[in-house]
Amino acid sequence: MSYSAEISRSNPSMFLFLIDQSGSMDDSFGAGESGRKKADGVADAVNRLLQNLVIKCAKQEGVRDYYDVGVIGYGGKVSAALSGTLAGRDLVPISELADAPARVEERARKVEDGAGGLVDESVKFPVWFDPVAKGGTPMCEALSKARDITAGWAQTHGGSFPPVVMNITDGESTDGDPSSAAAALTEVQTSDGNVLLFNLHLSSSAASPIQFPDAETNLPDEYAKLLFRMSSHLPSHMRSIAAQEGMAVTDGSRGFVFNADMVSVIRFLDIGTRPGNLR
Amino acid sequence: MHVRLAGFWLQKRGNLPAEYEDAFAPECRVETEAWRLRTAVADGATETSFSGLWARELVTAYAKGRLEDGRLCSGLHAARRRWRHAIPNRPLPWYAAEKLRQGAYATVVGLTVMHDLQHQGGGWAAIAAGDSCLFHLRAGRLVRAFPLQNVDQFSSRPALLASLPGPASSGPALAASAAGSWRSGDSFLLATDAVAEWLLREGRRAWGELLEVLEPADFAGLMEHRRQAGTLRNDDCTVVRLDVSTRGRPQ
Repeated sequence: MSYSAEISRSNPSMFLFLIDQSGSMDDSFGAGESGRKKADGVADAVNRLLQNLVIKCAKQEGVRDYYDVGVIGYGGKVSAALSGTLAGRDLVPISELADAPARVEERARKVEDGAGGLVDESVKFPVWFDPVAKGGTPMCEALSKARDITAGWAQTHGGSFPPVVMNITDGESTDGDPSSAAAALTEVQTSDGNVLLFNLHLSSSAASPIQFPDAETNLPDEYAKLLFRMSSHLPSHMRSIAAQEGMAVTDGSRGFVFNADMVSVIRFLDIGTRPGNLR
Repeated sequence: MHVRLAGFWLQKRGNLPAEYEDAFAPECRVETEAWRLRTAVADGATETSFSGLWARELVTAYAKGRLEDGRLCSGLHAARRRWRHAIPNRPLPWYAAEKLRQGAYATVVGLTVMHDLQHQGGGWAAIAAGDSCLFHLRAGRLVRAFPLQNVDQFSSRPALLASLPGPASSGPALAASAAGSWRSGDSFLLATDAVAEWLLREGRRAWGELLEVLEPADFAGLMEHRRQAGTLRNDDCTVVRLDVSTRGRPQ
């Protein structure tokens, strides 16, 4: 139970995303992005997380299969949410994901020009799915499906780094208290540790962003507090990388962020030397 | 002075030899009389692309005298240009293009040994960026370790030399330098991080085991044995051994 298993092609790990696609995701963000729908924020967050995970595993010869990846949407129904040729599949090797986005958009971003200034650069932005906001928020059912998927995977990957499940939601479950379903999910284990459940809470509340808190006292509402309690503690190696990156983390920090960026979690995954000065 | 140099390498367990991303120079064994000799090892970062190529550019540049202290800026600039030109010019999938945009990163340590006619030995000078290390040994004992001195200084996120121009934190400002003197019969080991960490943790027993290595098969066997014992991290392993003497062939 040490979260120290080497992640390699012969001993891959797993990343499962649970995406809230309920009607309430049609509401706007509260903090700093007035007018922007939460569903748009979720789609961007997941596409960026998948993009970062693929890039992490990419080498000059292609993408190495360090992870199996799944995306489950929950709203009008609970089902596999990857589109295009990957539709209907709960898990795919990350190399397949890399080669089959629904489309690749061109987006502009600011980059340093090496002389102290910023220039616009056109970058490719792969999109695996688009915003959806329809129906209720069957979070309990989604967590139960995640338990089934991770348990099946763990049976054939008993020595691997355990699955990381990332739940992206506005927090308002409509099929009951998700605590017990979350507990059942995090009881799934490999010999290296239990499933890690991280929650990214996108709220209409105007409260300030919060990353990896160690207590619920400063969280703005009951939904945030519930999601915090459901979230796994960050394993020690993730805490030390977070600390190296200047984040305020303690032994009690949990994999929970509120209206904030979760991409840092991808940097916490250890597949080999990552330059400390690569931003 | 008489110099004898040999390099040894083994790819990470589970990887193909072609996926080895460390580098060392010179790659051929050397046994000769010389006034000066330069050697280097480098370690391309796993999470960056074309990093093995970048590691090779760095060790080649050092061995040719282009990356010494005082010439780092121009030497690094030239190595970056050669790296960019060596990358195949073909359309890349979106992820490969993004990875290439980030550039390659590598650690490097380079050593120059020089003969001094006035003494029974000579001088040495070294540069290092990141956690590839130099060890100066005398009669099986460690005289100097550079740039790291203990295992607590290793991490999976060292600051590395970047193949693309960027902030100063990825350029010549990263490099540390050191100098000293050697005596006839001394040995130097240059090692990438996994082996360096093992040497610093295990101490004299590990030096002894490594100094008995004469052939590539001995090195591969020792590294595999230590990996299985859990004392050596599973990573690319590279060591260059350099023996120096003023009295003919080193013993």
